[in-house]
Amino acid sequence: MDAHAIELRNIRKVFGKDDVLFDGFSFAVPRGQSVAIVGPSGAGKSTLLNLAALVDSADAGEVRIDGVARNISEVGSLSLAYIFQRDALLPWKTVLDNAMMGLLCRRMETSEWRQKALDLLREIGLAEYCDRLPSTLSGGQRQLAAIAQNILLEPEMLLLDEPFSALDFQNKLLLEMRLLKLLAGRKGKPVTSLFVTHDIDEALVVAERVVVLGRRPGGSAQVMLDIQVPIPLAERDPIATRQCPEVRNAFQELWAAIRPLVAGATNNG
Amino acid sequence: MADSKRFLRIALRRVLQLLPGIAFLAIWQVLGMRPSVGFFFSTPLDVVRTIGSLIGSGELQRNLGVTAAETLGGFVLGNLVGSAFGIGLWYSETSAWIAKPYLTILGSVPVFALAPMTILWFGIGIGAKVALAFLGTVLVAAAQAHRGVRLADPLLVRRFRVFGASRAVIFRHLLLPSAALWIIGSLRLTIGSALLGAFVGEFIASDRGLGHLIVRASGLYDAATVIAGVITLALMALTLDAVIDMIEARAQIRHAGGSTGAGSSRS
Repeated sequence: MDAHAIELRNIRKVFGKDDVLFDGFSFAVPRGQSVAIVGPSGAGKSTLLNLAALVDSADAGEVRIDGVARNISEVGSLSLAYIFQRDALLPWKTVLDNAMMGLLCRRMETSEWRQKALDLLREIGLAEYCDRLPSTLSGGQRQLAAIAQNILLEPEMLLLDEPFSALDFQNKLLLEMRLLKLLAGRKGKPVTSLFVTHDIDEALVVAERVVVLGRRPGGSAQVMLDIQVPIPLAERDPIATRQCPEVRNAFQELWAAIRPLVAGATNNG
Repeated sequence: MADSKRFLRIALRRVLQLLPGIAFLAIWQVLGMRPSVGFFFSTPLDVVRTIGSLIGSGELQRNLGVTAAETLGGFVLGNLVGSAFGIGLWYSETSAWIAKPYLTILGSVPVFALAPMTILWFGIGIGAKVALAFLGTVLVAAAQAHRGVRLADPLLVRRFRVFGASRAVIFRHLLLPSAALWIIGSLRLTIGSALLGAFVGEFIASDRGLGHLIVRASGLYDAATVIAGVITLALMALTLDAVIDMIEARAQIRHAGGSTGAGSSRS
């Protein structure tokens, strides 16, 4: 079996007539690794995530999932979850029904899975909100419900597009803790994750590897820096990790790579 | 003290609100007592007496029932067919593209211009009026429903696709509920057209219904019966509007997940 869970090979992606975002771009996430992508707006972070999630297609090149080239029509057949910046909950369904949306889509709504959904909501602190509608929850609770919706099917790959950006700092810390627990693997099976964020600290807390994606003026997106975070994922704590001297050094290194790119970024996702 | 002041203020506003209506009725009554005016406009008291006698003979209820049946028949049928067609266009982009210019052309035709044709097709019975109410309803319902499914949250559509949902599942669990408010919005937009369609049909050729009652009375220079018919039509329109208000309010609560008793919204 291929060592890479997600691999983008020689990707070309053009917006409009001549805005070449990716040109011969290659990138890989090994199985079980947690990778964060940081960079200025317009560097192509969300586009890279959409390509990896097979919700967008490249003009050239291939996206390989578990070593097999895949296309956009196969998105539903993969063990992959994609958590968006905004929670994608159905406003007319209860939290429990929303958590079970993946089961509904795959026609797996058995009583056994319903019990699993209830157990998961209990595990993440949403048990008492099961019968409520999303509009009655706080932003943090809604995002937790969206995460529950995505992890109920125990995906092997988790893609996250700035999932905590709309939350206050306290909720962000709480959700980072939940995410770390999740990434360590449910039932001891580690999850491969690709996490896009603007927040360098957040990237250093939830990822084993942080990649800076950037564009020089007039050029296509490239990996500007690729570093390992010097603390094992299992030993992470959102606050302690932020204060750790090695992590502060990594922050400085990442910021030094991002800073020159900020002014030169263009406007594609 | 504050309560009594508030009560007085509300009472005063109520009186001020009623005053123009009372003044209008009083002037109408006084002027209408002159035969030269009363012949054309009748008087409020005559109208009330006429309504009473029409109810007493059962004529008003019979005609009201016919017009209501024609209106609701065309309205329900038009909204069902139109909504199903509008939503169904989601299944095929090609069909939607082909249908678009035809819907625009048909939408720009004043359907009541077809009234004489519907009499030709369906006769002077209830069928022609239902057909006119239907024609006044169906295109608006189709456009509203199609807009509703097209405007479903793209993030939710993407979420369903990532989960591997079939088109049927996306349609049933996402697009249909998303379009619900648009479909209910079309009820409000089309109830007036349905009533107008039924009325126009009765006006052109009929042997029953409020339109028939009004046309017959105007032929007999019976202004009081004409006005009684118009008032009954207005009350019917108000009742239908109130029913749609209720449906809309319930749907909005359900759709937005607002006040279901589950607690207030937080963010």
